[in-house]
Amino acid sequence: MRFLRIVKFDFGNIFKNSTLLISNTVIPLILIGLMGFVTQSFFGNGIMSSYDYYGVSMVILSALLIIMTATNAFMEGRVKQANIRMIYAPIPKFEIYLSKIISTYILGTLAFSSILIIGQYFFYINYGGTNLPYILLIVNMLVLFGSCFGTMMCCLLGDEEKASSISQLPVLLFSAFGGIFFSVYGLGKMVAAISCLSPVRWIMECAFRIIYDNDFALLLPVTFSLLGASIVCIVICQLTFKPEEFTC
Amino acid sequence: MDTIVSVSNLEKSYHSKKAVAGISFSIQKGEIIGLLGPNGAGKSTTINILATVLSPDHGEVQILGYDLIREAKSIKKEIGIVPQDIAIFEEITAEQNVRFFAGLYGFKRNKLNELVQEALELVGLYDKKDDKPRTFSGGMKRRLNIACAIAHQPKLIIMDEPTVGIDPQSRNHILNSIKTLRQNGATIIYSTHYMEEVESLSDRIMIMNEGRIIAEDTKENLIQNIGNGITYTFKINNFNQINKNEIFQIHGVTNVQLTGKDLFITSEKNKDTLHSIVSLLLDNGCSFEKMTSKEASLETAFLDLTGRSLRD
Repeated sequence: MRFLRIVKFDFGNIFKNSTLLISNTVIPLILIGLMGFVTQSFFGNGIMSSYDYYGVSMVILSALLIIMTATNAFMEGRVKQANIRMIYAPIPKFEIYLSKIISTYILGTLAFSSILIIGQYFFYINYGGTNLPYILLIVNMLVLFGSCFGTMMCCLLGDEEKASSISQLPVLLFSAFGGIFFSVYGLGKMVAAISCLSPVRWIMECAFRIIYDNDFALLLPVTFSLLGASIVCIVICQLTFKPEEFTC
Repeated sequence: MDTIVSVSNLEKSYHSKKAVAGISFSIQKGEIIGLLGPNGAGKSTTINILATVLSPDHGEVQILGYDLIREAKSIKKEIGIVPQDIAIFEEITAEQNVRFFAGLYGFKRNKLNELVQEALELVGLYDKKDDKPRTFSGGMKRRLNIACAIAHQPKLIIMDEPTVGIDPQSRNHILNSIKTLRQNGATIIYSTHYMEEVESLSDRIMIMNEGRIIAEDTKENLIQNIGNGITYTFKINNFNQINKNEIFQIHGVTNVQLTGKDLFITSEKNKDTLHSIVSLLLDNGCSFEKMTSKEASLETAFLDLTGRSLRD
């Protein structure tokens, strides 16, 4: 009951933060529109339009960038200061970081599920039609991973700014090599081979195969990899979170 | 009298530096203990250990009969911490703040309502309960900071500089609230940089310096034992020309401290030392802009003990 109250409270704090709300709802839609519009001519009249491509890739990128929301929800200056009281209260330390993970995840899930549904039914972006629930599943797992990863970085570094800036680097690298901004196949075999090392590439591949080929071969590996990575992040949180750092 | 806090040989180091170097003390039920010390004296580390946030390297601590290490959760239920920084959420109302933090202690709705109202009334914010703290003055935020810490009616309250940077009206309100809390049976550890607060509130005063308790007594005894005399403060321009030992040789001088340009000389009361001190300074070519004298007080006692003024 108490834990639910903390989660509810943390969720309320994120929800009332207009910057976080906009960055998880409006910004992804703007990115899809902008990238889709700018690259329209590269896609021609094939089965996949630029809006279809960036509809998937920008949602994946934005879902990953929920890391920033997680770090903000956990250790943004004012929040961190008020959270000191949770450190003094008779609650186990896992409730403190887990509530941030869950509240961030709830916000991300609501935001990105809405984007996918609105994108498919109002903007006619191809999210797989009847296969939409599988895309929702992938994106939600990605949001879970991002929430756990961001919180873990806060536990490791003890500082929101450091956690945010350091987390952005691998996200952007993996995204670039994973084909988020443009298809890497046109850049030669070497780059295409490197892109195989990017987890983002496999998430993209999985989503596109489900949408266009009705191929679910990558669904379970991707889902369980993200779930496994999330669990690892939570374990690291438990091992590294030092409540006393809040008081310093 | 019941012992609320019992600390024995407490030690805590950060890397190779000892922040707390083997301190021992006890606090009885209903006492208000003033914790004084210059920056870096070990006050905050001691407070964080008592708050169960930091683990000691060595020593034994019992709070309300519970062992600090083995029964930290039981201790947390019974103590309230007023942190130095204002730890409230600015975007929710004062009442929601107190309700949320008191709710962490597991109270049912009706009891929680009662506790929230009592806490807000105690700090004089009940009529502002529906306002958001971002509209509050610094003093009101400080009062809300206290309400959030005491709403669960802790038996031991630890206050770490609760009145920093606030207006006199709010300060008086806070000091009165603290007296009321004590009347209601709470035991209070009060850390501050304001000497007059400690003088007006505390039953006993502990002075810490370099991780140790260097004095622990009532205000009157501290002044009598340590600071009995007159302290002359000279604003010196060129102290290099005189040796501190020469001043010590003046009959009646008990202490000489130099902090920046301020030369503090403590002399026994009823000894006519001022003339000799001034002559010595002038004969040695020392010039000073200003000289003040102060009878023995807690401040002069503190200076005597630590060689630093409280705000250093």
